[in-house]
Amino acid sequence: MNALDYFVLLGTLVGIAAYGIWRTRGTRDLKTYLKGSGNTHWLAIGLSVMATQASAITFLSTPGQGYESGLGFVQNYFGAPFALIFISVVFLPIYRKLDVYTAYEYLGRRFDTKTRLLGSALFLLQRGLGAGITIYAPAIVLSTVMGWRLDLTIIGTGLLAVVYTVSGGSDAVNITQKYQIGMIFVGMGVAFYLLVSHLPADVSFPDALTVATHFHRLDAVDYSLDSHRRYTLWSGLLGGGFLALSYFGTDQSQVGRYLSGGSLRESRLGLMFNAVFKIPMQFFILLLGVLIFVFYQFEAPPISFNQTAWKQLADAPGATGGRLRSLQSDFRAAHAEERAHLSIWLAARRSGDTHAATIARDAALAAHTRGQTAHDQTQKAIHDADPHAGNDADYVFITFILRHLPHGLIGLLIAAFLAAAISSKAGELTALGSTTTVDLYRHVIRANLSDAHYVAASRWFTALWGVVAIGFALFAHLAENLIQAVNILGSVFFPVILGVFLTAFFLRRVGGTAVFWAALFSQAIVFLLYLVLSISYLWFNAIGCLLCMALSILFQLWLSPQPPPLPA
Amino acid sequence: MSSIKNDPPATVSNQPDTDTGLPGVHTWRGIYLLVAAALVLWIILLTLLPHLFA
Repeated sequence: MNALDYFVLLGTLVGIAAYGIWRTRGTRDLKTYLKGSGNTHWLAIGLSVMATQASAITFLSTPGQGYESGLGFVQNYFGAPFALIFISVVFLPIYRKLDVYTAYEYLGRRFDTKTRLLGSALFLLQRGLGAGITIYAPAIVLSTVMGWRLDLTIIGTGLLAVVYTVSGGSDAVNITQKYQIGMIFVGMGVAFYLLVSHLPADVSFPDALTVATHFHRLDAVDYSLDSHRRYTLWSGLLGGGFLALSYFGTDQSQVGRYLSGGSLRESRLGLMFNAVFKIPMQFFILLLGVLIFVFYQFEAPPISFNQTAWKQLADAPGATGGRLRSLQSDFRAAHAEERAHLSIWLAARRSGDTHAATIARDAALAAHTRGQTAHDQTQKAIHDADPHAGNDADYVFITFILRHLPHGLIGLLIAAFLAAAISSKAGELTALGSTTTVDLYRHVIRANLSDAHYVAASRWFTALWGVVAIGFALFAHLAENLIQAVNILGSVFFPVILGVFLTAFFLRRVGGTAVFWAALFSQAIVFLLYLVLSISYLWFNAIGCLLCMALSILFQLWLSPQPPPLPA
Repeated sequence: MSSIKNDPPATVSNQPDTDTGLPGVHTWRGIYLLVAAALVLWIILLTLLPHLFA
């Protein structure tokens, strides 16, 4: 990065944050601070929901996933449109009718205080730690590649989000997210265009997709019924649907975003915007990775995209260094052979020589397999030496950017990654602050005080959660297992919370005590199943939710065999 | 404010299908149908994609 890149990077990030602070200065009213001014347009809501959901890892690591495995990950989002329709039809009208600040406030009105506190406590625990990962994950990749200090990267991005979120509340998050996601889209679009223009002159865009097809990178939909496969059409529709339902429907970081709409119409259209554009966005990001894969079939790729980790081992004296250098020689020889065969194959296809094309393609695939074996052995050696080295796929896109894109655009894309981290974190922080204020402080500790008091309290709580998230991010590299634990919490907590909400909506005879104990029991069972079963994590979203609802009915029958009278 | 326990759960059937204010699609059911149709179209396109460039 040169001075121009740093100017673009700092100018865009600080400029957007400063604009957010300036636009929302002087907010004193609690409703405005926590839910926004009430005139947010549906497009701003849609972009805000998208920006909160799509963290830096979405833009930094997902292309690497496309590079390594192709388009299959897009199936994860197949259930999202149905989930968003369901939320628009069922959840949203109730939240708006009751004019709640948080989703858990609804649980208190439908059931009781203990169920409300259970929902908000699970959210605070999971999302409070998750906010740390939101800034840690891109910071570790960017600091490794750019040579920045990890602690300063975390503190810098974290504090920027804290400052404008604390200052302007929900409106500041909405305003800044609009520009941050715009910057991300522009950066990714230009990167896509330059990537296609960087392909060799004799390789057209359809040729690139043909190469991708024969290397199984365009296999997007898997109709297999095998539950052990991570991404299939069915796990995406059902498991991904429940995952999206719990995340968008019950996670306050999302509920807060769409409740900031001026009316039910604005909130609904904001959700429908995501229902329509979420899959194309993920497809586009994965396709970017697939095209980087094709690009690197014609341009020599590094054997490890995490060059810092590779060089540390390869340059060291001893057997491991020698072995890594030997593997690199094998990898380069295999790649040169593969590239030659690919050119022959494409030329034979164009001339209509099917026989020669088949022979050249098979030779290219065989050479690729040899190169892949050298790559896999290298990755194993790196992880044996340093278990914290991270996933090589996370470094694919950033390596392409730094090696092949012009200055200025490098700064813009790095700014886009950091903006994605900051915008996600801001959405999470404002939700953590509002839940702590409304569900714990105002409801349990100090009720019936002035708006100004609660706004001040919310600012302090938001800042406190910001500090907790930064602190967690600073120490996350010392406890990789903790990060895994937080990710597991996300997979096993929210399905049960969704079960509590669906019980509230549809099982009208179930009361607070029954659903409270059902949630705790089903949570314990889901934990056990998670440890015992080796099925795709997406399935736990359906299992946890349905189990909680079934146990709620059973406990209600046990607690009160005589059902309460139905409302008139 | 009345208790939520006395409110029937919101469903498609008990809510009036208000105007969306969008040109061309005036009901929410119409919008939901379009979203579902877009998903089906995406799944078909993504299934066909590798066959188009085989």
